[in-house]
Amino acid sequence: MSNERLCYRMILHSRDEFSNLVSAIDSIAEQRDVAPSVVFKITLALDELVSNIFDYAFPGIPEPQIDVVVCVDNGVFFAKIIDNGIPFDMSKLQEPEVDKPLEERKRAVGGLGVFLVRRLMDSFTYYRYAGRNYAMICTKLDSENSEKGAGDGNDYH
Amino acid sequence: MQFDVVKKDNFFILQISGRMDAVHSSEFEKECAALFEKGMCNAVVDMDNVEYISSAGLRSILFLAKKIRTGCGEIRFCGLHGIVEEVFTISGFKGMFPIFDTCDAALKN
Repeated sequence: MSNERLCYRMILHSRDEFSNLVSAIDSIAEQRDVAPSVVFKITLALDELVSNIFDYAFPGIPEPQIDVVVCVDNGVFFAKIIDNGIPFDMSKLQEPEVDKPLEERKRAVGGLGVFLVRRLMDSFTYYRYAGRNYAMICTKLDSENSEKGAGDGNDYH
Repeated sequence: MQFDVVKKDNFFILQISGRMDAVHSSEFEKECAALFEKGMCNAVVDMDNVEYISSAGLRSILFLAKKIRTGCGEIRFCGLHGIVEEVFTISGFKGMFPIFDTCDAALKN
């Protein structure tokens, strides 16, 4: 596996354009021989973040835009997702009631997507800077060495 | 996403293949609504050929499960494996629903 950095950058204007990002991940996976289970986790994390941003971050924003950079470097996958939406700190989303039986869950399963991101990625951070939201995720490409649990909330900023 | 339905005994077996994501979840809910009109009470959901599931897919499963249980029916799952199974586990779905290795086992119990 090459250790050279490989990156793709794209601008998304709607949820429909998520398929472009899937193509970029597939291309990275093919070039760097990434295991299908890791491709699934990365795709899922990006899907949840992009969907959340399009669902909640753009009320009244005239030209919604998500700028995504996805990279592999030295056996690590990382993505930076920057949007021009309203301040939207995903760390404030309520945790879903995953330990409760179906009938006892009062809330609709809101927050499940972000919860999955935190569990499937080794690191997930968010901050607001210069009028934009920044979300970052990382995971090792070799899933056997994944530092799972690091994303359980302690590293939220 | 593809959605095939087989009726066996008192169960509707829902064989789902492909992607269960935000794009396909409304399609899934529509298919389910049509099955309730056809008298579906109990369901076995065969996840063997599901390639991808996001929280939107999980929400559509909850939609189905709540409707079935409201009607006093039963919902069971089979064919879960790999990362789809892991997503089920993380989300707490494994503790909420009866899950079987095969659909035959799901129908026998």
